[in-house]
This record gives sequence, structure tokens and C-alpha cells, in this order.
Amino acid sequence: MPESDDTQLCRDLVDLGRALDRPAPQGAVEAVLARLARRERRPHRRVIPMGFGLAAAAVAVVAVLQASSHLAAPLRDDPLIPGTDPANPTDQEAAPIETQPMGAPDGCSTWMAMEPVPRNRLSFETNWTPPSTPAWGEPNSFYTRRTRGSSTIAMARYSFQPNTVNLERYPPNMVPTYNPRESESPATVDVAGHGGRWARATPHRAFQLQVRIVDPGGREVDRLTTLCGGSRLTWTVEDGTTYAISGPVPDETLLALAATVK
Amino acid sequence: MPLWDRVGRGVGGVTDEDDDLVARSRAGDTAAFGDLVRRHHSAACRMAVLAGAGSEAEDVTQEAFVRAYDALFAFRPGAPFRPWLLRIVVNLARNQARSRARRAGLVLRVAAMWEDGGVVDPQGVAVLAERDRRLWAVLRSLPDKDRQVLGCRFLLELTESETADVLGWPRGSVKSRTARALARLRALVEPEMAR
Repeated sequence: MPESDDTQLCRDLVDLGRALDRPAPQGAVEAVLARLARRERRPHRRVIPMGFGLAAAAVAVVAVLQASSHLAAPLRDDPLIPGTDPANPTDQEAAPIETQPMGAPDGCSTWMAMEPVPRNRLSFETNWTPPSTPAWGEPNSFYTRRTRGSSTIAMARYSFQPNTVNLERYPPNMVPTYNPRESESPATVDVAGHGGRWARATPHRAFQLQVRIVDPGGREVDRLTTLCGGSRLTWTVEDGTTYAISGPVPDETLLALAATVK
Repeated sequence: MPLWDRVGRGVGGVTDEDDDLVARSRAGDTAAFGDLVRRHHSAACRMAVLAGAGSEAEDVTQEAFVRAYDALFAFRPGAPFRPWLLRIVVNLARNQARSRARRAGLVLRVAAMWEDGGVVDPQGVAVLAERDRRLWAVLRSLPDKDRQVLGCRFLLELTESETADVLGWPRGSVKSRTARALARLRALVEPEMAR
């Protein structure tokens, strides 16, 4: 194949791209801005069934009691946290990040470093079925990330209008360790009999979270950096599987949802 | 060195104005974000089509800008904005394509994507020169990954590194896939253009 043929083809493609480059229709810009404006006027709230709400309140009381006696050391003294580029979460200088008063982020942005997959592929690769109950609703998107050692991290996202709640799953042979620097009041809490840990954003301020995934021997097999708004609760169940739930909804809701994860 | 190794002016590298707009957007200036939408809408829409959004490319693009706005706090100042945005577009388009497949079944999906007039024409393909229109049609007929890598590298003129970021592939895969995709495209284009 003469290189000149490909050279011409490349040039044709570049020319095509430039020919396709058009100014954005004004309607498109206005549509985006209108969506942002509409959403900013809408209060963030989550309606949950009464019975479920009572259970959440009960669990929250337990959580407060637990937290009062098990407050963890502030994690803001941890080593520098890399920043986040969703396409390439490499090490970067971390800095406090102010979020806009409007436009709450949808929990943790871990999904940006993962591959969107169909539900059946997620289940096939991880042998895990994300919750699908009246409390959770149906997950609306699924993500996986294969790490060295062929273990797979999974994530499902749920719509809690107008917000999104994320559930991440780390298989038993992985131990995610966290370096939340910007989080406030990290605390331990009981999640249906398992030790859990909160990391919380302050109002209008997101926090960066570095997730180092290590195998049982302590060897790092992957590293993710994620930005979180709202709160993130992480806990490990009997078989060693670790879950993380995050989203800009009340902590009581996150905790109640977490307690139902099997 | 093949030409494709040198292609990619790295549109994301032109970031000074984007930097300013991003900073103002993060401070709550939605007019500045509107300017970002104007600057990158065309590329985002093309990326959505290339990533399989089909007739819903406009919706995917709009959603991507809204998500990007939400995630601006996570954007690293000084980094190129366009590849970051396009990665969101690709993720959304892939999700949307899978949802559509689940809803309608694979056969219907493919039919909806490729039937004449069924594919969105967000960039005014209808007004292209005949040769460009044929090339666009052939490009769309390639397998997903081929279409995406050629779209990123040539239609959007991203560098290999930016393409790897946008598509979530290793850089080596971008290089090898580009070569293979060009070969496939050439095999299709030559008889088509000879008509």
C-alpha cells in the first residue's frame, strides 16, 4: 500500500472534519442554559416510602451513636491528593475546589474512569447483580473497570430525581484505601452490622478522593481518583466485598440504602 | 513516518480562552459556559454521532454539556477542555446506544442508525460536497471502534494522546487501530469514490 494513498485519505478526512465544523445553533446553546437554569430552581429532595423512611431514621440514630464514640482521625492530613481528569486520572496537584452554589454534582465521579457496559456484562464479569428493589429503583447505567490481576470493579447508577446515587463494588480480593483530604467529619458508622466510613463534602465544596486498590498482599493493582459532592459511605461485608455509596441526597437515605445491599 | 502520526493539531491544546471560560463557569457565570457550548458544540455533536448516538446525537450532546457543567469542579485548570468534554460525550453515547439496543433490539437499532435519513445530520451533512458526503457515508459504515478512532484523529484532529483519553484506550491501541481502520476505510472508499 503506497503511503501516498493513505496520506491523501488522511487529508480527505481532515478536510471532511473541517467541512463539518459549523457554528453551534443558537437553540442548542439556549437549551443547555435553560436546563441549567430550570434545575437550579429545583430543590434537591428525595421522597422515600414512609416505612423506609422510619427505618432510615432508626438506622440514622444508631449511626449518630456509633459516630460519637468512633470518630476517626481527620483525613485531611493525608498525603496530597491527585486531581481528576475523567479521561486520564493521573497524578495532579490538588487544590481546594469550590463548587458552584448551583448544580450539585452527582455523588462521586468514579464512573468517568470506567467503561460503560450493559447490565448483563457487568453481572457476567463480576458475578454481582446491582440492587433492584422498590427502595433503590432500577439502575440506569452500569460501569466496570478491569484492574491488573483481572479483577473487576463495578458501578451502578440510580436516578433519585433530580439527583443520582452511585453504588460501587470492589471484589473481595481488593482493598480500596482512601485519601480524602477535602472531606469533612469522616466518621465510622454501622452499616447493617458492618463497619462503614463516611467522607463528606462541605457545603458548596466537593472533595477529591484517591482510591488505591491493593490486593491482599498489599500490592497496588489500580488507582482511581474521583471527585465527590455530597457524602460517600464505604463499608465491607463478610466475604470481603467492599461497597461505596455516594450521592447528593441526605446521609440517612444513603445509610438506609446501604443497609439493604447484599 | 505515516502521515497519521503527524496529524492531530491537538485542538485541545488551544486552551487559553477555554481556561478563562472554564474559570468563569466554575464561578457560576453561565454566560461563560454558554460560550463554551458554542465553541465545542460542533465537535461534541460529531463525536456523539461517531460514538453511536445516531439520531439522538443532539440529545446526547446537550446532556454531555449539562454533565460537564456539573463536573466542572473536577476539571483540572490548564488541562485541555475539549478532550475532557468529548470523553463525557463518548460515555453517554455508548450508554445511550446500549439502552436503545435493549429497548429496540439489535436489528432495529442498526436499522435506525444507518437507514437513509435515520442518522442525525447535526452538522449539515446534506450541504457537503458530493465527495465529502460519500466519504462520510463510508466512514459511518465502519465498525464502531474504527469509526471512533478515525473520527477523533482526523475529523476532530485530536492527537493520539487526546484520542486515547477520549476513547479510554491505551495509546498503543490508538496507533494500531488507526492503521487498521485506515486500511479498512481505504478498501471501502476506493470503489465508492471510483463510481
